[in-house]
Amino acid sequence: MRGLFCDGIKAKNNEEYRVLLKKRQKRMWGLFAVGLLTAALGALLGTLMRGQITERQAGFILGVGTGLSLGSVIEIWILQRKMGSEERLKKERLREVDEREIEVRSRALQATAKLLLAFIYVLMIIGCLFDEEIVGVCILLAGIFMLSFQLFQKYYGKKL
Amino acid sequence: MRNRIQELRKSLKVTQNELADAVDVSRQTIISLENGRYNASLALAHKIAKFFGKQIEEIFIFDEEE
Repeated sequence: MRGLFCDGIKAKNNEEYRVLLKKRQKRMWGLFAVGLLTAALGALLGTLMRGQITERQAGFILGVGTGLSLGSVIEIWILQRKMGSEERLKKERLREVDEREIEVRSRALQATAKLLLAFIYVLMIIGCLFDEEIVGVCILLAGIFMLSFQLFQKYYGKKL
Repeated sequence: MRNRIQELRKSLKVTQNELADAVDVSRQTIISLENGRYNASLALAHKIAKFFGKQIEEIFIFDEEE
């Protein structure tokens, strides 16, 4: 999953990559704060709005926030470990900037996109037998996906 | 596209790791290049040619039919 958000492709050496990883750590701290706030919101809603929202709903928000915070902390620790050794730093940098790895990720993303669209289609067909709302959600997802793809294609077409 | 990377590398007694380090790619990329499963970009081809002290055309054999 980490490969999905790799932005290390501009790092030409370990020093530049280290700077990038430190920026990522800062973003993770931001995410950690968001997670904490979300968890706090869930706990608050569960207490103050008892009766208006269910325990399940409040618990879901609390769970998402907690998961986000924990995940961020783990990622911060992983990033710190990467920066601890020059060899590990180089290995991770190459994993992100190596042109073959970039090609592998690109093809994996393409295959995943096709699979996701196929899955949405099947879900829509099966879903319409049980709940029409599922059909609406599926159409919305597929629509957003295709519109985003067209827009990003135009954007990168002009940029490159 | 065929290439002579393995042949040149062995003639200079260079390991795949050493070549990978020299051109700043992973060892797996060198393996894939030598096996013909992956074609190098122009930038990488240039780095490899520079490493071996040869022209790109002497290392990478472009097949007209491709």
